[in-house]
Amino acid sequence: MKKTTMIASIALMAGAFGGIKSAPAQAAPSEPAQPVTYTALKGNYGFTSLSSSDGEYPAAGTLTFDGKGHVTGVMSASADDTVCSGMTLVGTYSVNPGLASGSATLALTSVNTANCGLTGNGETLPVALTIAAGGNTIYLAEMDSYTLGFYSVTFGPFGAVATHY
Amino acid sequence: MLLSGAALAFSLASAGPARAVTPPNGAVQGTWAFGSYVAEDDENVANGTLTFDGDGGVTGVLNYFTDGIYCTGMTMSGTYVVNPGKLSGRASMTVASVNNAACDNAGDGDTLSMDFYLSNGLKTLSYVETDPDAVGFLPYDFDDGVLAGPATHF
Repeated sequence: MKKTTMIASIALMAGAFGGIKSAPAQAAPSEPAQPVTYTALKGNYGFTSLSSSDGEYPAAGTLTFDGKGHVTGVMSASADDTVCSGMTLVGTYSVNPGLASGSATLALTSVNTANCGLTGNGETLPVALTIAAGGNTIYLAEMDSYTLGFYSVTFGPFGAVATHY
Repeated sequence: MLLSGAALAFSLASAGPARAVTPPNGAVQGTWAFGSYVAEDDENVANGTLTFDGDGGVTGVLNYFTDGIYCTGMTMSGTYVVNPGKLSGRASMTVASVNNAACDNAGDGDTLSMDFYLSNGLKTLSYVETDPDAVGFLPYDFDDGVLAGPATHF
């Protein structure tokens, strides 16, 4: 390319770009504001069980609150000779006005390992939440009828303290 | 000598009213969330909140699961005392239960007493229930469970 041609090309490009009027900035579609009853809990929490005096039913894991009423998690639990590592939790939650308490209902997907054998698969874990440290600490206590289909029957009643990541 | 006397007089004159001594109860004020180990029994779990008014009054909410019964949203009301040194205290509350199918007013009117110990700049409270397993006390209606565990300031 000759020098003169190149200069002309650059001039044309400059003119072309210079003539472009930038389109008015379009606002990105904003998500609807979430009520504080959801946003009060958001992010990852690690939890460990508050087990009874003999520590027969220990559990630990993580919970992730999305700030929109949905919660997911991973947990490991032990009951007698059954040990289930890496079970997953999916559910919903809400925080009560005052932001000191709330509730969540979680569905458990178990793991098909030799020590677990899908124990607890499909069970429900409803928990009462109490909240402290500006949302950084959550105390969880299972609240159900202690009948088939609930976590408590298989792994013992669930009580835990969770701390924000 | 005269100067010292004048200084003393000035000092006394400028001294304000004697500063009120903060009673120990004032050291514990606000809301704590708590969990429980529910010692002595594998079938119980509990959590809740305690709100200390800084003046000897305490209220709270208690969620309690025991074998076949679960009570969500019981309320508590009573008094507390913080010991000199502000490292410990005790509270005694009366429980108002909930009348639904899951709970059936279990524990209604029972006494819940606890000793508590303060740490972490008063942000953490460790408590243990001190009630007997007898009629009128919480353990009697909740499968011998004795509440104990940590509480964290709101």
